[in-house]
Amino acid sequence: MNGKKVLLLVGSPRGTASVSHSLGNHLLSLLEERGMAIKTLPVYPSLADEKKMLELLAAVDACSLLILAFPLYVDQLPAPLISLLLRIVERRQGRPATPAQVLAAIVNCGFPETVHCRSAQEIVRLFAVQANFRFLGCLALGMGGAVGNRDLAKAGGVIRHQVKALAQAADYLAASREIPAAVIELAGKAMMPRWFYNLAADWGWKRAARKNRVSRQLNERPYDGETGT
Amino acid sequence: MKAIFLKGSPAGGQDPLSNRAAAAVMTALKAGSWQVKAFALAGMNIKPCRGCFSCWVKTPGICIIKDDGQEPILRAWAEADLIAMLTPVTFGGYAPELKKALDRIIPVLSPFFMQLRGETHHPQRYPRSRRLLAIGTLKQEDADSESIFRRLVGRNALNMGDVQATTLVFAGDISLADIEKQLAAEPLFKEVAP
Repeated sequence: MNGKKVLLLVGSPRGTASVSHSLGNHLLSLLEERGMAIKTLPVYPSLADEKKMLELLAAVDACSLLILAFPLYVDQLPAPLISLLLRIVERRQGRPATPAQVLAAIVNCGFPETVHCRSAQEIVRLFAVQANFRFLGCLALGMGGAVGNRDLAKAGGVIRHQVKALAQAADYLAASREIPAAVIELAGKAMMPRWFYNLAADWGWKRAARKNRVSRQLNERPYDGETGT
Repeated sequence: MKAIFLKGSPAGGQDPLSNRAAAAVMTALKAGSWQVKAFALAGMNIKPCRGCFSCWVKTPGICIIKDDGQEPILRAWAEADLIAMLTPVTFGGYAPELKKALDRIIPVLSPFFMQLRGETHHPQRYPRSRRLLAIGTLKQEDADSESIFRRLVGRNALNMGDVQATTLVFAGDISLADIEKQLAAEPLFKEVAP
Protein backbone atom coordinates (compact mmCIF):
# COMPACT_ATOMS: atom_id res chain seq x y z
CA MET A 1 0.00 0.00 0.00
CA ASN A 2 1.23 3.49 -0.86
CA GLY A 3 -0.91 5.28 1.74
CA LYS A 4 -3.23 6.78 -0.87
CA LYS A 5 -6.96 6.26 -0.43
CA VAL A 6 -9.43 6.17 -3.28
CA LEU A 7 -13.15 6.63 -2.78
CA LEU A 8 -15.66 5.63 -5.46
CA LEU A 9 -19.09 7.25 -5.26
CA VAL A 10 -21.66 5.43 -7.37
CA GLY A 11 -24.26 7.94 -8.55
CA SER A 12 -26.73 5.51 -10.06
CA PRO A 13 -30.13 4.63 -8.56
CA ARG A 14 -29.38 1.03 -9.49
CA GLY A 15 -26.42 0.89 -7.11
CA THR A 16 -24.33 -2.27 -7.45
CA ALA A 17 -26.53 -3.47 -10.32
CA SER A 18 -25.52 -0.52 -12.49
CA VAL A 19 -23.13 0.03 -15.37
CA SER A 20 -21.68 2.89 -13.31
CA HIS A 21 -20.77 0.47 -10.52
CA SER A 22 -19.36 -2.04 -12.97
CA LEU A 23 -17.05 0.57 -14.55
CA GLY A 24 -16.11 2.25 -11.27
CA ASN A 25 -15.50 -0.99 -9.48
CA HIS A 26 -13.18 -2.21 -12.21
CA LEU A 27 -11.19 1.00 -12.07
CA LEU A 28 -11.04 0.67 -8.30
CA SER A 29 -9.65 -2.85 -8.47
CA LEU A 30 -6.96 -1.62 -10.88
CA LEU A 31 -6.04 1.13 -8.42
CA GLU A 32 -5.88 -1.39 -5.59
CA GLU A 33 -3.39 -3.38 -7.68
CA ARG A 34 -1.36 -0.15 -7.85
CA GLY A 35 -1.18 0.10 -4.07
CA MET A 36 -4.17 2.27 -3.19
CA ALA A 37 -6.64 1.56 -0.39
CA ILE A 38 -10.14 1.42 -1.87
CA LYS A 39 -13.65 2.18 -0.68
CA THR A 40 -17.00 2.31 -2.49
CA LEU A 41 -20.15 4.12 -1.38
CA PRO A 42 -23.50 4.48 -3.14
CA VAL A 43 -24.81 8.04 -3.32
CA TYR A 44 -28.57 7.51 -3.20
CA PRO A 45 -28.94 5.90 0.29
CA SER A 46 -26.94 8.71 1.90
CA LEU A 47 -29.43 11.33 0.74
CA ALA A 48 -32.22 9.71 2.74
CA ASP A 49 -30.13 9.06 5.85
CA GLU A 50 -28.15 11.84 7.53
CA LYS A 51 -25.93 9.36 9.39
CA LYS A 52 -24.91 7.75 6.09
CA MET A 53 -24.44 11.21 4.62
CA LEU A 54 -22.03 12.22 7.38
CA GLU A 55 -20.08 8.98 6.90
CA LEU A 56 -19.90 9.66 3.18
CA LEU A 57 -18.74 13.24 3.71
CA ALA A 58 -16.09 12.05 6.16
CA ALA A 59 -14.91 9.52 3.58
CA VAL A 60 -14.67 12.33 1.00
CA ASP A 61 -12.58 14.35 3.46
CA ALA A 62 -10.26 11.41 4.02
CA CYS A 63 -9.64 10.29 0.44
CA SER A 64 -6.70 11.19 -1.76
CA LEU A 65 -8.58 10.42 -4.98
CA LEU A 66 -12.35 10.81 -5.38
CA ILE A 67 -14.00 9.02 -8.31
CA LEU A 68 -17.57 9.75 -9.38
CA ALA A 69 -19.24 7.10 -11.54
CA PHE A 70 -22.70 7.95 -12.80
CA PRO A 71 -25.19 7.54 -15.65
CA LEU A 72 -26.15 10.42 -17.87
CA TYR A 73 -29.62 11.73 -17.05
CA VAL A 74 -31.05 14.39 -19.36
CA ASP A 75 -27.62 15.48 -20.61
CA GLN A 76 -26.06 15.80 -17.16
CA LEU A 77 -25.75 14.31 -13.68
CA PRO A 78 -28.74 12.70 -11.91
CA ALA A 79 -30.44 15.08 -9.45
CA PRO A 80 -29.40 13.20 -6.27
CA LEU A 81 -25.75 13.36 -7.30
CA ILE A 82 -26.01 17.13 -7.84
CA SER A 83 -27.51 17.42 -4.33
CA LEU A 84 -24.55 15.52 -2.92
CA LEU A 85 -22.01 17.64 -4.80
CA LEU A 86 -23.63 20.77 -3.34
CA ARG A 87 -23.28 19.29 0.17
CA ILE A 88 -19.62 18.55 -0.49
CA VAL A 89 -18.95 22.11 -1.69
CA GLU A 90 -20.83 23.56 1.28
CA ARG A 91 -18.78 21.44 3.70
CA ARG A 92 -15.46 22.38 2.14
CA GLN A 93 -16.13 26.12 1.88
CA GLY A 94 -13.80 28.15 4.02
CA ARG A 95 -11.56 25.18 4.75
CA PRO A 96 -7.87 25.40 4.08
CA ALA A 97 -6.89 24.28 0.60
CA THR A 98 -6.09 20.60 0.28
CA PRO A 99 -4.18 20.47 -2.98
CA ALA A 100 -3.31 16.82 -2.48
CA GLN A 101 -6.90 15.76 -3.17
CA VAL A 102 -7.71 14.91 -6.76
CA LEU A 103 -10.89 13.99 -8.61
CA ALA A 104 -11.80 11.92 -11.65
CA ALA A 105 -15.11 10.67 -13.04
CA ILE A 106 -16.72 8.16 -15.37
CA VAL A 107 -20.00 8.97 -17.08
CA ASN A 108 -21.87 6.50 -19.24
CA CYS A 109 -24.89 6.94 -21.48
CA GLY A 110 -27.14 4.67 -23.51
CA PHE A 111 -26.62 6.63 -26.71
CA PRO A 112 -23.89 5.39 -29.02
CA GLU A 113 -22.14 8.78 -29.17
CA THR A 114 -20.18 10.28 -26.30
CA VAL A 115 -20.99 13.83 -27.46
CA HIS A 116 -24.09 13.53 -25.25
CA CYS A 117 -21.80 13.41 -22.19
CA ARG A 118 -19.88 16.64 -22.83
CA SER A 119 -21.97 18.85 -20.57
CA ALA A 120 -21.68 16.32 -17.74
CA GLN A 121 -17.89 16.26 -18.18
CA GLU A 122 -17.79 20.05 -17.92
CA ILE A 123 -20.09 20.09 -14.88
CA VAL A 124 -17.84 17.63 -13.05
CA ARG A 125 -14.82 19.79 -13.90
CA LEU A 126 -16.51 22.86 -12.47
CA PHE A 127 -17.52 20.95 -9.34
CA ALA A 128 -13.86 20.00 -8.85
CA VAL A 129 -12.86 23.66 -9.06
CA GLN A 130 -15.55 24.78 -6.61
CA ALA A 131 -14.88 21.94 -4.17
CA ASN A 132 -11.12 22.48 -4.30
CA PHE A 133 -10.13 19.19 -5.93
CA ARG A 134 -7.53 19.02 -8.67
CA PHE A 135 -9.41 17.65 -11.69
CA LEU A 136 -7.76 14.74 -13.46
CA GLY A 137 -10.40 14.09 -16.11
CA CYS A 138 -13.71 12.47 -16.87
CA LEU A 139 -14.03 9.35 -19.01
CA ALA A 140 -17.20 9.20 -21.10
CA LEU A 141 -18.66 6.03 -22.54
CA GLY A 142 -21.50 5.64 -24.98
CA MET A 143 -23.35 2.36 -25.64
CA GLY A 144 -23.66 1.82 -21.89
CA GLY A 145 -26.24 -0.87 -22.55
CA ALA A 146 -23.51 -3.05 -24.05
CA VAL A 147 -21.43 -2.89 -20.87
CA GLY A 148 -24.15 -4.10 -18.54
CA ASN A 149 -23.47 -5.12 -14.99
CA ARG A 150 -20.62 -7.51 -15.56
CA ASP A 151 -17.21 -8.19 -14.12
CA LEU A 152 -14.97 -6.23 -16.45
CA ALA A 153 -11.87 -8.09 -15.26
CA LYS A 154 -13.11 -11.05 -17.27
CA ALA A 155 -14.55 -9.03 -20.12
CA GLY A 156 -13.03 -8.50 -23.53
CA GLY A 157 -14.73 -8.56 -26.89
CA VAL A 158 -16.72 -5.48 -27.68
CA ILE A 159 -15.58 -3.58 -24.58
CA ARG A 160 -11.87 -4.24 -25.02
CA HIS A 161 -11.12 -0.57 -25.79
CA GLN A 162 -12.90 0.53 -22.61
CA VAL A 163 -11.12 -2.07 -20.47
CA LYS A 164 -7.80 -0.93 -21.94
CA ALA A 165 -8.67 2.74 -21.34
CA LEU A 166 -9.53 2.03 -17.69
CA ALA A 167 -6.17 0.29 -17.22
CA GLN A 168 -4.33 3.23 -18.76
CA ALA A 169 -6.38 5.70 -16.72
CA ALA A 170 -5.49 3.77 -13.55
CA ASP A 171 -1.77 4.32 -14.23
CA TYR A 172 -2.29 8.08 -14.43
CA LEU A 173 -4.69 8.29 -11.49
CA ALA A 174 -2.40 6.24 -9.25
CA ALA A 175 0.30 8.82 -9.97
CA SER A 176 -2.19 11.73 -9.44
CA ARG A 177 -1.63 12.75 -13.05
CA GLU A 178 -4.21 14.07 -15.50
CA ILE A 179 -5.80 11.47 -17.77
CA PRO A 180 -4.55 12.24 -21.30
CA ALA A 181 -7.03 13.06 -24.06
CA ALA A 182 -5.98 9.91 -25.94
CA VAL A 183 -7.16 7.73 -23.04
CA ILE A 184 -10.48 9.60 -22.82
CA GLU A 185 -10.85 9.11 -26.58
CA LEU A 186 -10.12 5.38 -26.26
CA ALA A 187 -12.77 5.00 -23.54
CA GLY A 188 -15.30 6.66 -25.82
CA LYS A 189 -14.53 4.51 -28.82
CA ALA A 190 -17.59 2.82 -30.34
CA MET A 191 -17.97 -0.77 -29.13
CA MET A 192 -19.70 -1.78 -32.34
CA PRO A 193 -21.12 -0.10 -35.45
CA ARG A 194 -23.73 2.45 -34.49
CA TRP A 195 -26.40 0.90 -36.73
CA PHE A 196 -25.92 -2.47 -35.06
CA TYR A 197 -26.09 -1.03 -31.52
CA ASN A 198 -29.24 0.94 -32.37
CA LEU A 199 -30.83 -2.14 -33.92
CA ALA A 200 -29.97 -4.26 -30.88
CA ALA A 201 -31.26 -1.58 -28.49
CA ASP A 202 -34.58 -1.25 -30.35
CA TRP A 203 -34.90 -5.04 -30.37
CA GLY A 204 -34.21 -5.10 -26.64
CA TRP A 205 -37.02 -2.63 -25.90
CA LYS A 206 -39.43 -4.62 -28.09
CA ARG A 207 -38.45 -7.84 -26.35
CA ALA A 208 -38.98 -6.30 -22.90
CA ALA A 209 -42.35 -4.91 -23.97
CA ARG A 210 -43.40 -8.32 -25.34
CA LYS A 211 -42.45 -9.91 -22.03
CA ASN A 212 -44.63 -7.32 -20.24
CA ARG A 213 -47.43 -7.79 -22.78
CA VAL A 214 -47.43 -4.15 -23.85
CA SER A 215 -45.99 -4.50 -27.36
CA ARG A 216 -48.93 -2.68 -28.91
CA GLN A 217 -48.84 0.09 -26.31
CA LEU A 218 -45.21 1.12 -26.75
CA ASN A 219 -46.15 4.36 -28.52
CA GLU A 220 -49.17 5.15 -26.34
CA ARG A 221 -49.82 8.79 -25.49
CA PRO A 222 -51.59 8.61 -22.16
CA TYR A 223 -51.68 12.39 -21.71
CA ASP A 224 -52.62 13.35 -25.26
CA GLY A 225 -55.45 15.85 -25.43
CA GLU A 226 -55.79 16.06 -21.69
CA THR A 227 -56.55 19.39 -20.17
CA GLY A 228 -54.55 18.75 -17.04
CA THR A 229 -55.39 19.31 -13.44
CA MET B 1 -50.95 28.65 -26.68
CA LYS B 2 -49.93 26.65 -23.66
CA ALA B 3 -46.83 26.90 -21.54
CA ILE B 4 -45.40 24.85 -18.72
CA PHE B 5 -43.19 26.72 -16.28
CA LEU B 6 -40.85 24.57 -14.19
CA LYS B 7 -39.81 26.92 -11.43
CA GLY B 8 -36.65 25.60 -9.85
CA SER B 9 -36.10 28.35 -7.30
CA PRO B 10 -34.75 27.06 -3.98
CA ALA B 11 -37.19 26.56 -1.11
CA GLY B 12 -38.10 29.25 1.40
CA GLY B 13 -37.18 32.24 -0.75
CA GLN B 14 -33.48 31.60 -0.11
CA ASP B 15 -32.51 33.00 -3.48
CA PRO B 16 -34.01 36.47 -4.07
CA LEU B 17 -32.62 36.70 -7.62
CA SER B 18 -34.29 33.43 -8.58
CA ASN B 19 -37.55 34.66 -7.08
CA ARG B 20 -37.31 37.92 -9.04
CA ALA B 21 -36.64 36.00 -12.25
CA ALA B 22 -39.61 33.68 -11.58
CA ALA B 23 -41.91 36.65 -11.04
CA ALA B 24 -40.67 38.28 -14.25
CA VAL B 25 -41.23 35.10 -16.28
CA MET B 26 -44.81 34.86 -15.01
CA THR B 27 -45.41 38.52 -15.89
CA ALA B 28 -44.01 38.02 -19.40
CA LEU B 29 -46.04 34.87 -20.00
CA LYS B 30 -49.25 36.49 -18.80
CA ALA B 31 -48.56 39.57 -20.93
CA GLY B 32 -48.26 37.26 -23.91
CA SER B 33 -51.62 35.63 -23.07
CA TRP B 34 -50.03 32.24 -22.54
CA GLN B 35 -52.05 29.68 -20.65
CA VAL B 36 -49.47 28.83 -18.03
CA LYS B 37 -49.18 25.83 -15.78
CA ALA B 38 -46.51 26.71 -13.26
CA PHE B 39 -44.88 24.28 -10.88
CA ALA B 40 -42.94 25.48 -7.82
CA LEU B 41 -40.68 22.44 -7.74
CA ALA B 42 -38.91 23.03 -4.42
CA GLY B 43 -42.15 22.43 -2.53
CA MET B 44 -43.10 19.32 -4.46
CA ASN B 45 -42.41 15.76 -3.44
CA ILE B 46 -40.78 14.43 -6.60
CA LYS B 47 -38.81 11.29 -5.92
CA PRO B 48 -35.65 10.43 -7.86
CA CYS B 49 -35.91 8.47 -11.10
CA ARG B 50 -35.06 4.81 -10.45
CA GLY B 51 -33.73 4.16 -13.94
CA CYS B 52 -36.11 1.19 -14.22
CA PHE B 53 -37.45 2.09 -17.70
CA SER B 54 -40.92 0.91 -16.68
CA CYS B 55 -42.25 4.07 -18.32
CA TRP B 56 -41.01 2.65 -21.62
CA VAL B 57 -41.63 -1.08 -21.41
CA LYS B 58 -44.16 -1.77 -18.63
CA THR B 59 -46.54 1.19 -18.51
CA PRO B 60 -45.59 3.10 -21.69
CA GLY B 61 -45.73 6.85 -21.14
CA ILE B 62 -46.53 6.57 -17.43
CA CYS B 63 -44.02 6.69 -14.59
CA ILE B 64 -44.62 3.96 -12.00
CA ILE B 65 -43.42 6.17 -9.14
CA LYS B 66 -46.45 7.79 -7.62
CA ASP B 67 -45.81 11.09 -5.91
CA ASP B 68 -47.52 14.42 -5.71
CA GLY B 69 -46.15 16.14 -8.72
CA GLN B 70 -45.08 14.06 -11.62
CA GLU B 71 -48.33 13.26 -13.40
CA PRO B 72 -49.46 16.91 -13.60
CA ILE B 73 -46.03 17.83 -14.95
CA LEU B 74 -46.10 15.11 -17.63
CA ARG B 75 -49.62 16.13 -18.59
CA ALA B 76 -48.70 19.81 -18.90
CA TRP B 77 -45.47 18.97 -20.78
CA ALA B 78 -47.35 16.82 -23.31
CA GLU B 79 -49.59 19.67 -24.37
CA ALA B 80 -47.14 22.57 -24.01
CA ASP B 81 -46.11 24.81 -26.88
CA LEU B 82 -43.51 26.42 -24.65
CA ILE B 83 -41.40 24.77 -21.98
CA ALA B 84 -40.01 27.38 -19.59
CA MET B 85 -37.44 26.36 -16.99
CA LEU B 86 -35.79 28.39 -14.26
CA THR B 87 -32.84 27.32 -12.15
CA PRO B 88 -29.89 28.65 -10.22
CA VAL B 89 -26.88 27.72 -12.36
CA THR B 90 -25.14 24.96 -10.42
CA PHE B 91 -21.67 23.88 -11.57
CA GLY B 92 -22.81 25.16 -14.97
CA GLY B 93 -25.85 22.88 -14.91
CA TYR B 94 -29.24 22.77 -13.24
CA ALA B 95 -29.88 22.76 -9.51
CA PRO B 96 -31.53 19.68 -7.94
CA GLU B 97 -34.96 21.35 -7.71
CA LEU B 98 -35.33 21.53 -11.50
CA LYS B 99 -33.26 18.45 -12.22
CA LYS B 100 -35.38 16.13 -10.07
CA ALA B 101 -38.37 16.98 -12.29
CA LEU B 102 -36.43 16.65 -15.54
CA ASP B 103 -35.02 13.26 -14.53
CA ARG B 104 -38.61 12.02 -14.31
CA ILE B 105 -39.63 13.40 -17.70
CA ILE B 106 -38.42 10.47 -19.81
CA PRO B 107 -41.95 9.04 -20.21
CA VAL B 108 -42.45 11.82 -22.81
CA LEU B 109 -39.85 10.08 -24.97
CA SER B 110 -40.12 6.90 -26.98
CA PRO B 111 -37.53 4.21 -26.18
CA PHE B 112 -36.56 3.79 -29.82
CA PHE B 113 -33.69 5.56 -31.53
CA MET B 114 -33.74 8.08 -34.36
CA GLN B 115 -31.06 10.17 -36.06
CA LEU B 116 -31.02 13.93 -35.61
CA ARG B 117 -28.22 16.19 -36.82
CA GLY B 118 -25.98 13.14 -37.18
CA GLU B 119 -26.58 11.97 -33.61
CA THR B 120 -28.80 9.36 -32.02
CA HIS B 121 -31.81 10.62 -30.06
CA HIS B 122 -35.16 9.38 -28.83
CA PRO B 123 -38.32 10.45 -30.69
CA GLN B 124 -40.85 12.54 -28.81
CA ARG B 125 -43.92 10.66 -27.60
CA TYR B 126 -45.94 13.85 -28.08
CA PRO B 127 -44.44 15.46 -31.20
CA ARG B 128 -45.27 19.14 -31.39
CA SER B 129 -43.62 22.32 -32.55
CA ARG B 130 -42.31 23.54 -29.21
CA ARG B 131 -39.97 26.18 -27.91
CA LEU B 132 -37.73 26.09 -24.92
CA LEU B 133 -36.97 28.98 -22.61
CA ALA B 134 -34.24 28.33 -20.06
CA ILE B 135 -33.37 30.92 -17.46
CA GLY B 136 -30.38 30.57 -15.22
CA THR B 137 -29.44 32.74 -12.27
CA LEU B 138 -25.97 33.29 -10.89
CA LYS B 139 -25.01 34.99 -7.63
CA GLN B 140 -22.22 36.70 -9.53
CA GLU B 141 -21.12 36.75 -13.14
CA ASP B 142 -19.18 33.62 -14.08
CA ALA B 143 -18.35 33.16 -17.76
CA ASP B 144 -17.33 29.49 -17.36
CA SER B 145 -20.59 28.51 -15.63
CA GLU B 146 -22.66 30.51 -18.09
CA SER B 147 -21.10 28.95 -21.17
CA ILE B 148 -21.56 25.41 -19.81
CA PHE B 149 -25.18 26.29 -19.00
CA ARG B 150 -25.83 27.63 -22.49
CA ARG B 151 -24.35 24.52 -24.11
CA LEU B 152 -26.38 22.29 -21.80
CA VAL B 153 -29.62 24.04 -22.76
CA GLY B 154 -28.64 23.52 -26.42
CA ARG B 155 -28.20 19.79 -25.76
CA ASN B 156 -31.60 19.66 -24.03
CA ALA B 157 -33.20 21.45 -26.98
CA LEU B 158 -31.77 18.83 -29.34
CA ASN B 159 -33.04 16.01 -27.15
CA MET B 160 -36.48 17.63 -27.08
CA GLY B 161 -36.65 17.23 -30.85
CA ASP B 162 -34.33 20.01 -31.98
CA VAL B 163 -36.63 22.71 -30.63
CA GLN B 164 -35.74 26.37 -30.80
CA ALA B 165 -34.21 27.46 -27.51
CA THR B 166 -33.81 30.81 -25.81
CA THR B 167 -31.30 30.93 -22.96
CA LEU B 168 -31.05 33.84 -20.56
CA VAL B 169 -28.72 34.17 -17.61
CA PHE B 170 -29.20 36.81 -14.93
CA ALA B 171 -26.44 37.51 -12.47
CA GLY B 172 -25.77 39.60 -9.39
CA ASP B 173 -28.24 42.14 -8.09
CA ILE B 174 -30.14 42.82 -11.31
CA SER B 175 -33.52 44.34 -10.49
CA LEU B 176 -36.95 42.90 -11.21
CA ALA B 177 -37.65 45.79 -13.58
CA ASP B 178 -34.48 45.06 -15.57
CA ILE B 179 -35.28 41.36 -15.81
CA GLU B 180 -38.82 42.19 -16.96
CA LYS B 181 -37.42 44.59 -19.53
CA GLN B 182 -35.10 41.92 -20.94
CA LEU B 183 -37.85 39.33 -21.06
CA ALA B 184 -40.26 41.73 -22.71
CA ALA B 185 -37.71 42.34 -25.45
CA GLU B 186 -37.38 38.63 -26.19
CA PRO B 187 -38.85 37.77 -29.61
CA LEU B 188 -40.06 34.51 -28.05
CA PHE B 189 -42.86 36.32 -26.26
CA LYS B 190 -43.81 38.42 -29.26
CA GLU B 191 -43.66 35.91 -32.09
CA VAL B 192 -45.49 32.95 -30.61
CA ALA B 193 -48.12 34.44 -28.40
CA PRO B 194 -51.56 34.74 -30.02
